[in-house]
Amino acid sequence: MSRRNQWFALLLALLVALPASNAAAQAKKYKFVVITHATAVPFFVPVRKGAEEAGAALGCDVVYTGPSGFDIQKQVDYIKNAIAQKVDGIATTMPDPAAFNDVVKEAMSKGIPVLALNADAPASGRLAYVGQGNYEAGQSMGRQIVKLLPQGGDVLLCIHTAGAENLEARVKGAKDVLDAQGGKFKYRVVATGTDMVKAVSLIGSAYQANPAIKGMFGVEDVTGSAIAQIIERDKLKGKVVGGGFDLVADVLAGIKKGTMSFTIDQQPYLQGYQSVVELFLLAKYKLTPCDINTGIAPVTADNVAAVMDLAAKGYR
Amino acid sequence: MGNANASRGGVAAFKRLFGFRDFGVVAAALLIAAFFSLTSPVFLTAYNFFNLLRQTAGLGIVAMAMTVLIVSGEFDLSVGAIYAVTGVVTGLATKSLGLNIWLSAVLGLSSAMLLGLLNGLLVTLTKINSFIATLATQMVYRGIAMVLSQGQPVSNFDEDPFYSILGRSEVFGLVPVQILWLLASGLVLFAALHRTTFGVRVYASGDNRDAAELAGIKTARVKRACFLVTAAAAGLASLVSLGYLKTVTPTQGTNLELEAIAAAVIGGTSMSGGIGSIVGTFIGTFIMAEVRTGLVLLGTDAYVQDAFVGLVIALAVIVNVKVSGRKAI
Repeated sequence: MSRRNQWFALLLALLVALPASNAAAQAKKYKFVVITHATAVPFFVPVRKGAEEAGAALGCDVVYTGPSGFDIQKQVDYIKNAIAQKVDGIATTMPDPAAFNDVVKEAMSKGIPVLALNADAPASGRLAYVGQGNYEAGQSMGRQIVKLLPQGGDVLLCIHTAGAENLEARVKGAKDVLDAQGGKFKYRVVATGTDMVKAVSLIGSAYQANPAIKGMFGVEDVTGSAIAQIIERDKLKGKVVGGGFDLVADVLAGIKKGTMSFTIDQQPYLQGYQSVVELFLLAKYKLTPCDINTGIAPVTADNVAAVMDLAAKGYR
Repeated sequence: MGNANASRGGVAAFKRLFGFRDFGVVAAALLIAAFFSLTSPVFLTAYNFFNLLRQTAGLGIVAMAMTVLIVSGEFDLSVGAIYAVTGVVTGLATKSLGLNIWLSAVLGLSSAMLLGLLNGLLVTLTKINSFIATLATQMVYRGIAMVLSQGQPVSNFDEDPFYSILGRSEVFGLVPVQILWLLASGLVLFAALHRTTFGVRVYASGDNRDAAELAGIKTARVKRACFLVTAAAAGLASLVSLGYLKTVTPTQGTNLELEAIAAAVIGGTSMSGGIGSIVGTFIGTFIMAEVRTGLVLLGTDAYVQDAFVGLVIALAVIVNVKVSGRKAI
């Protein structure tokens, strides 16, 4: 009997404590959810760090979550989950122009503000976009290519997932700049899939097929790393210039060694940090969020040491 | 009628002449190679050949072991996840715990085999269809890789001969070392499946489980061993990849299980068990890499490649079935 009473008391205590602690938390702390479309890729490490550090600085709860690998349906479910938790704001990547329309509407209609981060979908009705313009970033890559190869020539533009909205925008940006050089450049798009062993092999083959190639450029981490591996392995330094996107260990190491020429950084820490700041200011002071361009920062041999140091700490 | 019979007789004679049980798949591989050699001048070069085999190594090791398992009448959909766990455990053991990389690799391989043992126990003790059982463990194992690594890749390893020996060095300055690992695994698996009583038991278990039991074969034990072999192969493949790339990600090996099964089936392995060969699967893996690489060499548009690979897989299976005169796959 006494044991049953103990259980009963415990249950009662829990029932009383739960709503009380909930109410207490709500009174003093805002809760924001930051969602990305692939939490297991290295790129999003600084996004998470930026979001969490902004939360700590502002004294609000920040939860970073999302599907581990690219999966829009699952990502929408994560957003719905956040809506069900009645959080005070959501910042999410939107790697599809239309797939997020309904869920954003649902959140906004329930009074939960939504920001787009890193990948934008203006038609969704999100309040603002914090991130890099992918098309502009692709143009930036194109300009780097023109600078490196003033005579023009054959180049490879590599992409891990053909058809991914944000990556295709980068390819388009780079193509448009190359096209504007009066036919000096001939390019070929190589799609590799996300497996790096396969990517190394396929890009290597594309080079074999056309040894006149003067440059290989990847618009994301997988193909960028693969290009760095190929240039080093096949001793193509000096024959082929390489460039990548984002701050990836292999690419940065390549820039340091001189096998790679540049990478385009979009400062993801800023994307996480600024999203939380905007959500906080909106919740607290009703300040309207505005678009923030987190920049197109080329990393080259000149600044790679400083950037690598910051990357190791999770800030770049 | 007469013609068909004559040509079938010719093929049979050819098969006898060359002693190939895998004539069909070899024919498909050669046809594809001939096509690409005619259309691309660089297809038939040493560089491309080794490039192909290097790409084949990881998948080949897994697919050949998977063949043993499929012959025994079971599947393992969790090999991709085991591949990820092995890499993550090895990477973290050396990066976070500071263990020697060789010791870490032993730890990684042991965890792979533990997961394989769990698969085997789950399937043989509960009699759940292995398709479902390993679909469940796939998610669990992938989750383990995610939790351990917190979703982050592990890289920036210290220099050690380990990486050269597993995936970076080139024997005689030409042959990528992972090809030796592929061949070694192939030889061991070939011997195990085609030259030992264990192999006979594997075929018997997959062909007709009841008959095998009546003949005194403990089919559950045989299948558990096959799950263990498959997991160990996934672990080895993961270490080879780690040696080559010097980086591991918790998402690595996604869809590896499907590619492994596809390679086995192209190589003539029957999905219902009891039929299959290591050489066939080896060539099957080669065909998949051959097609992908060939399409890139031809300069095919990036957006149509997946469709082509699918078509060629279907074609290769059809050629294999027709030429080898089997009823079905």
